[in-house]
Amino acid sequence: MKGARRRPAPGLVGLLFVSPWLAGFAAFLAAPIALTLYYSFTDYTVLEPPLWIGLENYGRLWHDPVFWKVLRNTAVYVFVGVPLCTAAAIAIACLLNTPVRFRGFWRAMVFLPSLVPLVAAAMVWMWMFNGELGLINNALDPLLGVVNAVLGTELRGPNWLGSPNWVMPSLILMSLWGIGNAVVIYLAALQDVPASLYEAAALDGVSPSGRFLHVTLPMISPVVLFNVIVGIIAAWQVFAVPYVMLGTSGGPDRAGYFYTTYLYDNAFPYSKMGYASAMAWVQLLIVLALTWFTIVSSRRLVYYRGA
Amino acid sequence: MQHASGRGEQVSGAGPLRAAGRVSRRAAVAAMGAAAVAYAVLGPRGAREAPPGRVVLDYWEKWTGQEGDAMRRVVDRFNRSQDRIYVRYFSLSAIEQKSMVSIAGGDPPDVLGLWNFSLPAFAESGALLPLDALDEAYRAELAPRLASYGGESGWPLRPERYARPALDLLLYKGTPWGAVSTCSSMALYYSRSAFAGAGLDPDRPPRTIAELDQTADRLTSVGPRGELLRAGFVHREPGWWDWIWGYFFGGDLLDAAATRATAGAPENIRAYEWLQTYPERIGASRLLAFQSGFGNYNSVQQALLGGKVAMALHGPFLANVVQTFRPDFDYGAAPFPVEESLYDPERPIALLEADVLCVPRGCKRPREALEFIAFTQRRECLEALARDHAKPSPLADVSPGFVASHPNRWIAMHNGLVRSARAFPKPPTRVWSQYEAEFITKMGAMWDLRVDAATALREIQARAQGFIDLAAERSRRRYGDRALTDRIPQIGEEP
Repeated sequence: MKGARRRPAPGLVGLLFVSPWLAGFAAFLAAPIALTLYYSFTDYTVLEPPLWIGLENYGRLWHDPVFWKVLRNTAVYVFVGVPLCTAAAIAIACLLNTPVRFRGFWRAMVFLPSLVPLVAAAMVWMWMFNGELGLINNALDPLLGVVNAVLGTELRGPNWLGSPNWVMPSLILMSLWGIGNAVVIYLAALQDVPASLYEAAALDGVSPSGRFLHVTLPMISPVVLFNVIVGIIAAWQVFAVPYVMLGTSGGPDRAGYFYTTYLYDNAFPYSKMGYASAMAWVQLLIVLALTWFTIVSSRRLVYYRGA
Repeated sequence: MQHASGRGEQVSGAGPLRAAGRVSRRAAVAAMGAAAVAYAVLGPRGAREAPPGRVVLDYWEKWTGQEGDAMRRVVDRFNRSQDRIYVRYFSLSAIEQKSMVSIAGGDPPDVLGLWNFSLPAFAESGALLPLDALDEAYRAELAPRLASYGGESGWPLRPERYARPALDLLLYKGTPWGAVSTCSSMALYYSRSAFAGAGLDPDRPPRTIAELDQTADRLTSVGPRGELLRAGFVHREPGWWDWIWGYFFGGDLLDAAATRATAGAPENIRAYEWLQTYPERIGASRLLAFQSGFGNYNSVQQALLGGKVAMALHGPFLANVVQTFRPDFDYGAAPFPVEESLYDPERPIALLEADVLCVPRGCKRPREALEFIAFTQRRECLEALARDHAKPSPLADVSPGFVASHPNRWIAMHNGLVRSARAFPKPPTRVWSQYEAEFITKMGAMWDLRVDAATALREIQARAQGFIDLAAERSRRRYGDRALTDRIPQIGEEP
């Protein structure tokens, strides 16, 4: 009809409004990701044009002992650190969900460390882990003094960051520092558990631990799954803290050398961007596989209300 | 009623309000867009640092703080000396990585401050313009112009002006890739008061490894509970040169052609076996725990300044740390001790390092870049910079006032090291950062006696050889048999 104006499709208008983000995503994320796939099949030093070498980078990964070392280190960090942080976060959330005095204060205290920048936190923890002057060893000293007096031993606080045996436990221990975010999410989930279920369980004579196992855990299980998946992805990319605390070599015997640190070293200091790109794609596949496995294996463990 | 926005059905109820002057959504979005465009086009601009009409050069350098200020003064001096070029000084962290990205992206700075040990990787990748080609292209034009600015006469970029070992730091495969801005020579630093306290002569530092061991033993002190109070000498303090010890036993880490790693050579094995005698004598775990209490280099808790270590390998720039944190610290310095058969006071063995001013590939103003670099090479600039950085002069002869006014009282000794025929650089290979990473890792294992020196060094050598071979193979694949000199980027060549 003459004079009638065509209205743009609603979807088109929406796309128009998000187009700055789409353009940014395409230019700064999608295109670089696609390029890394290409670079992973090339010899690329950044300063020289990429040269096609097929699967050579992937083949070299297989024979690179440092690659296996960082893979093992990262796997230990993920498979020990994530369950530990999950358990600690749930435990603290449960405590903060009880009617303790100054509850708001305790909740703030638990969340506060999450706000500290990672580099600053790493610097503080370096001093706490100091083998000679550190706060942790100073706290352990009286305890070890008693043990030594009783058993006639000569035990001393460990050289946390100086000994290859203690580097990984130190870093995992430090990862607990950042559980404040998870605690807040668990707290929200706990407050969403219907009180009627606890009342019914109490009437049936279920013990507190039984109530936790049979009421609380199933009811918050979707949140646990979410946090575990996010935790696995984040832990697999750990970089800043070990980089600051242990330097580029990952500490003694590369005990604190992680996947992403080695990837970074290859990309920049070693000018092996092609090799680093291959590492990045292997990392993506590992994280995808772990996420898939976590989701599949959790089907029988996660309870979705209303599902 | 059809609304102007084209969504009349959604806002039709607002008719009376619109009549009262309500702005439509489309008009609001258009107004905001127009405002954003106007702000971008007409909005405030960053301060115009450069005076109008001048050619602006961008100079990226790694220095901050006191060292950065010293270079800024040289830049200011250049900017004041003439009215044609204006240099902007940018202080950058991770300068190698950022330079790589900028050069690869075709938008590099005009002048780049690198380290001498970065040159092989940059040169092999064709990322730098060789200084001799720039000199040949522009010298005739620039020499009279530079002379007209006043100050020192003569073209400063003449090789004979420099101490030969300092000049060699700028060469890779026979080509000079930059001009030196500062250089350092590393030496044994010690606490004179600790020497005196242990009954040693502070004016007679150890000269040989055997003397170093004896002196270290005398200076090591242990508390009543067996705890270490002071270590005579600690190889890993400040811990920047884990790979260096073989050189004091006559070793090297590369062969002359830089194609074979030689970490497992007998001299190196001897050196690291000697190194392991320290944790053996003191106790590896005790030494490690003691070391973990050492403070940062730039602090009063630094092991030497704080009295935890009596002797350590340091650079001349330690003088600035002393001046800042413990001006009362009475320190001595001497060439690092060597194996007895190698001792020669006329030709001490010392590590040399240099900061290098380079012109990257893709530089848009190479002529002006060379002019600025040439200006920095004047005696007054180099010596002022060296003094402010507490480093020796890279020039063949130093002015009389240089030593007298230098903050490091041992600068004459450092100047001597810079001129020594047995001064050595970090191994010149493009895979040095990987080679060094292997050393750092294995050094930890050697230091706490988990592995013997021979095994560790052979493993380092095998790994390093792998890096060298891979780099050579990939270079062959990329460039065939063309030598580096045949593929050097030309001035003005687009990246």
